[in-house]
Amino acid sequence: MERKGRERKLPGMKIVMPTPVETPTMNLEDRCLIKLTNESEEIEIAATDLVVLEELGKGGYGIVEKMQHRQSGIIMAVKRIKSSINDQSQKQMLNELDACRRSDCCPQMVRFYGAMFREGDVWICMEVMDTSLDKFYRHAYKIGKHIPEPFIGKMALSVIEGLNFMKEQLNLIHRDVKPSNILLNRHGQVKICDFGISGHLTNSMAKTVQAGCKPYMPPERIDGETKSAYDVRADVWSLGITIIEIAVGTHPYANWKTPFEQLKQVVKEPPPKLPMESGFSVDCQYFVKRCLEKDYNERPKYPELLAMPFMEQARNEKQFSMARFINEILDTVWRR
Amino acid sequence: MGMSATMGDSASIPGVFFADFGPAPPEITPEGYHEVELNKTKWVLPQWYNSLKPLGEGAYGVVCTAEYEPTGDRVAIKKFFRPFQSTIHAKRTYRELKLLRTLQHDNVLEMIDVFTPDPDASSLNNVYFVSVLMGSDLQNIMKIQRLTDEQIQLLIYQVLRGLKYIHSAGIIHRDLKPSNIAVNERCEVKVFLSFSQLSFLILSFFKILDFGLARAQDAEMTGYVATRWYRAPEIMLNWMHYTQTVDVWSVGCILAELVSGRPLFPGDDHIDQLTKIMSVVGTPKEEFWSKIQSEEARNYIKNRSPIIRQDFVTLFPMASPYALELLEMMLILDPDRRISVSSALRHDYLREYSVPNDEPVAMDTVINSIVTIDPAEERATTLSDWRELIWNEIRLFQNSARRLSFVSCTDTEEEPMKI
Repeated sequence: MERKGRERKLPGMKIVMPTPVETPTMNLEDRCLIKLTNESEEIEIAATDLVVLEELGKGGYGIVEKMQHRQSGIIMAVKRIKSSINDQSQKQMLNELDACRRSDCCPQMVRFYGAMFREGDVWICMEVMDTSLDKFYRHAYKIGKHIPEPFIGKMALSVIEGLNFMKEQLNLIHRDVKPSNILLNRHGQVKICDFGISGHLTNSMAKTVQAGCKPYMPPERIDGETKSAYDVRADVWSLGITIIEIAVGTHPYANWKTPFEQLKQVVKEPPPKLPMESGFSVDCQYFVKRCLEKDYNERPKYPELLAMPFMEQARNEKQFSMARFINEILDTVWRR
Repeated sequence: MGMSATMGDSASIPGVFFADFGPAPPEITPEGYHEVELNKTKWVLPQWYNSLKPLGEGAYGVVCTAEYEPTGDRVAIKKFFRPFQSTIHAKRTYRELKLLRTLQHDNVLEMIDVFTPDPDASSLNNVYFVSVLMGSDLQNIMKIQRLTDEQIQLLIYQVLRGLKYIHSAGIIHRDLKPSNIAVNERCEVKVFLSFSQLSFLILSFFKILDFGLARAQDAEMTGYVATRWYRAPEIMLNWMHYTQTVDVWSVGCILAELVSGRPLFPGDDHIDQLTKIMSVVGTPKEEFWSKIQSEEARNYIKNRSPIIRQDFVTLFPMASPYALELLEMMLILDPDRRISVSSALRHDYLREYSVPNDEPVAMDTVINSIVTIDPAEERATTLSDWRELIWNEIRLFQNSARRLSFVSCTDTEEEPMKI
């Protein structure tokens, strides 16, 4: 077969091959030392000694599994993220590891045990919780229960205190606040996870790569003509959307087929709000309204939110037991 | 074994208990295979692959190079990341294997071996894919050098030649970008059908709207910023109602980047992407507006200030007149007016390397294999269903004549000129 044209050699046709880039291990070993609490002794864990008990979740990032260490019986959640030569992705993982290591003294953060590298993945070992807010509220509605206001108040209080801590102490913002990143346990604790896309907060107008789960993204991040630097108020918007979702049982926005439908609804139309007939208090409705101010300059930051009456009530509420409510929902089996 | 006092104290921690499980049982390496630990990854390979070296990462898998002992050729081996993480992942793995088993063209990256050390379908968890070793990909090549105009012509011609074949098989690539174009020292090109878009290949052909899959797909792709930079505007405007010319747009973006040395439309997100596109090619005319099916998208564009198409001569001062002409025809907003692959192959810019009689299309057997939906595939819903299907694909390829029939595409020394 005649192939003269394509195979003719020209001077200078040879292409210099770049040096292959190895899969970055981010200086991680395939084992790590972990401490279950600040007081306990360190235990060495090897990736190959972890046994999968069940899958806890998955997404575009990878997978989270409940795993057990064979020798010690320790149970933990292990999030496996593909290590990547994509700079942005690598940076995100570095931020997550850094944020996790420094969050020991924050009770509203899921405890980070350690990190390893194995089979092309970064393994992030964390405290295992009993459920995510996402699964929890869906299950509640399935069994015919609604989410009461005291639960919403205490959940929001924990989340805001955790986010405020991360901002004040570690200068990090979350950027992906949503129900599946808010975890609950049977002791009644509410904790935040996945600061995987946190970035160091700056006051500059430096552009950031689009981050945050789209359905929870604030209007100033969507409208191309008014894009602005990311700050904590974007997470406040995401929290407001989260509250409405668990309060009424569905996400306030429809599934968008194109980014332009999102643009229209989130940027052009009025913000969602708690329905008047839903039975929530005026303080609760006002709190949500403030979280969902479309003009982010008008939207409150954490200290202002924490000072609002709704948060004060959540702090002082003694009649409602988070532990009892969470166990009640989790222990009720849904029957068709 | 007696528990230490420390461990006893720790036992009171909620949610944690201790037990001595003893050492992990040794994993058995199947006969004919050997085990290699490389870059904190375990590789279980047939005996004929040796001398492993780390190579880096492909989409959805880790990659190494190895020597194929019988001939001494080096090959690339990809170990799939968690191919059974979900039914979507499994479906992708299956479709990629099926396509790679079926497609055969010298400008499309071919599978030369596929294997698993797992003994049967029910325990299938590890899948390895072997291909010829190309030197690098275009993205990494562009990082260290500017290519000459002759090299660019030869590269673009081969990409279009590969696309002609892919399109003739009823497939739209949809994710063409520099990192999906493998190139060797001799300026030979193989288009890489990466994992991330395979789930759409057959769907695109049948124009089946599977929003569930589309949503998952898009959710993953938005995490990879660079993916959007080469994407045709109608993908964002008409969401899954597009044709083969989406790939021509991508080639245009790549050609522009090769000529200028920087990405043409590095958008931050979908809307920013479209804004950057319109700032160069101008806002669409009335005839294109009417083709946009999304009312929100139409309104968005109508409300923007009109922009006139930029002068490509000013935009690409280094480009030759023929390159500019081809770019103009490729980077047209309206896909119906954009140049086709067949016409682009005949453009004067590529004349030097054009061989019209050697631009093969897919045979009927290939097309039939791709468009025919296997009843078992249609019925597949569980991971074990997909394991069975993937197992069959592996066996089909291993029994075919194409297995391990290859020559190395990497130069270690200059070869005599071929006539």
